[in-house]
Amino acid sequence: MEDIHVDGDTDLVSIAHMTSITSKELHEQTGALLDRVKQGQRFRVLRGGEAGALLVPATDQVDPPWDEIMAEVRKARAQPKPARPNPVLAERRKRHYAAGLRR
Amino acid sequence: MPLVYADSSVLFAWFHPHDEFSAVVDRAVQQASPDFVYWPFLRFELRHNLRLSRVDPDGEAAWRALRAAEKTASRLRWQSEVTADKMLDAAEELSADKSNKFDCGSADYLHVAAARRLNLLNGIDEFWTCDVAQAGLAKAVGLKTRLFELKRSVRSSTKAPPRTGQRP
Repeated sequence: MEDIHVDGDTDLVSIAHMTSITSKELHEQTGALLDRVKQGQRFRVLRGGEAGALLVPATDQVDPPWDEIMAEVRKARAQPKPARPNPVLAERRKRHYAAGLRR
Repeated sequence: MPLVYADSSVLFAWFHPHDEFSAVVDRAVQQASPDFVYWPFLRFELRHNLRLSRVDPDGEAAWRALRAAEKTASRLRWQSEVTADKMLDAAEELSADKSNKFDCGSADYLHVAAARRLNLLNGIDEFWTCDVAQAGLAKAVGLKTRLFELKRSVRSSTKAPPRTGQRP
């Protein structure tokens, strides 16, 4: 199952081609599952019906790349809208009056 | 992956889809694929401004992307050795040394002091900013600096920043 999910405020992006297995299956088939992981498969381990852990190849890049993190932002960026002033620069300019006093 | 100290002005533009610098920063990130330095003051300044922008779907998308990036170990790379109290002292020292030459605000000194400290500790690849005066200061302390500028045809520049911000 391909699942790309970014939650509202706190939780992680889980990205992947992943198969869900239960903790019981993990316990009973540890060797076979580790062999499949070594071949590149990835598993989401469910405990009490909820994802409790991920089983991924040691060579896997654990962190998603920027392209995945920024997919929604890039989609929004592609829509034509007027650019907004950068608020960080605007705030600094407002506060930065001391330099003007010394000129 | 190169490690870049991006000032909050750059990171805001990276996360917000319609910031004025968004397109040039996006292009630079796509070219360099950097990981970014992250530490308490940078987090505070970035989060604060993104929180204020959560008034429409663009702001919400920016916030969600930031929170997702914060959950990674490397895209926003937390610098445990860079603490606010130490960096305030470093910024104070930098201000004492450079404020007679550079008309930068206090936040600029804090960012440049933190970037300089990290560069000494671990080495960072570049310092990125949209702030002309801050770019001048960063260059003066020896950081390889990239200034994002808005021009008639929007593009980024890696040239030395103009002397704006440096006192004659």
